[in-house]
Amino acid sequence: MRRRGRRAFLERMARLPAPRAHRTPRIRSMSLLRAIAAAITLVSFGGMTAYAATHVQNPDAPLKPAVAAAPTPTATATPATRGRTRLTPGVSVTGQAPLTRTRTS
Amino acid sequence: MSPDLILWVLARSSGTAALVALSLSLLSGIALRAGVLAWLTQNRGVRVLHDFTSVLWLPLGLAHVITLLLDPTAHIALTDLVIPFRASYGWFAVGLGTISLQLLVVVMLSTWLRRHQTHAQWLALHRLSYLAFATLFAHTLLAGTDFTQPLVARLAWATALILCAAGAVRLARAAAREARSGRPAAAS
Repeated sequence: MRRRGRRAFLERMARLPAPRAHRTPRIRSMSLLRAIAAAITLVSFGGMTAYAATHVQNPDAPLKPAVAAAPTPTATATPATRGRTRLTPGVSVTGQAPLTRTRTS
Repeated sequence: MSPDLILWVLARSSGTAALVALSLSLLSGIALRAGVLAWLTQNRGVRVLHDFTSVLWLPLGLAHVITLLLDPTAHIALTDLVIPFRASYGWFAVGLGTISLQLLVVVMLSTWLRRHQTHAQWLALHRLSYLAFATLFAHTLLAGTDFTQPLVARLAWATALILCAAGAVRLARAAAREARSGRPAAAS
């Protein structure tokens, strides 16, 4: 059965026209062909370099961390004060000359 | 820009450009027998193009590997070039890249040492380039930073479709030759 299917496939393929060389190929110069291939490769290299340089931190980057790993905030234990809160004054009187003036001063 | 970032940018761009050059190489290789580039140039031109593309993709592929080896953030070691699936980061994607690299080395060596092999031996080794390109494409999709960008992704998939179509034409024509001659086609 499988053999018959292969035979039918090959018979179908045999009816396909044989490839013929194009009468007038567009590019005859070998140097031009090389230049086109080099240009395609260099344009892709230059374009990707320009793109990657302006998109260094790609958020979709699977292999490079998108941003530098920020230190995760860790809880630090504060010494217990046994329920007693001690307040200290944050503003103190100074003997220096004032830098600004207000209407009332 | 710091040296680390320069390496990173070069690794990305050289990888993409190497894929483009390898696509041209595969297309011209298929076209040698399938005649899918007959509208562009004669078969001698396709042969010249196929030989020339190795001059393009080889240095770009080397640049991709070397920049990733030197980039400390990528965490790629020399042993990762020999033993696949060992990388600490993106192990599967990097492992596919290692396998494609090794297959391409085999294909290139077999080409350079062609005179020392029979045609059948060379053909069997040269056909590994299809497998190499398939693993390389998977490596690109999984590890390529820029392949999530719509334009780059569309271009990559369009290239893959063109190569698949050329491969299908190549297989059909080989089968037709086989049917006409009544014996298996010994085509490259």
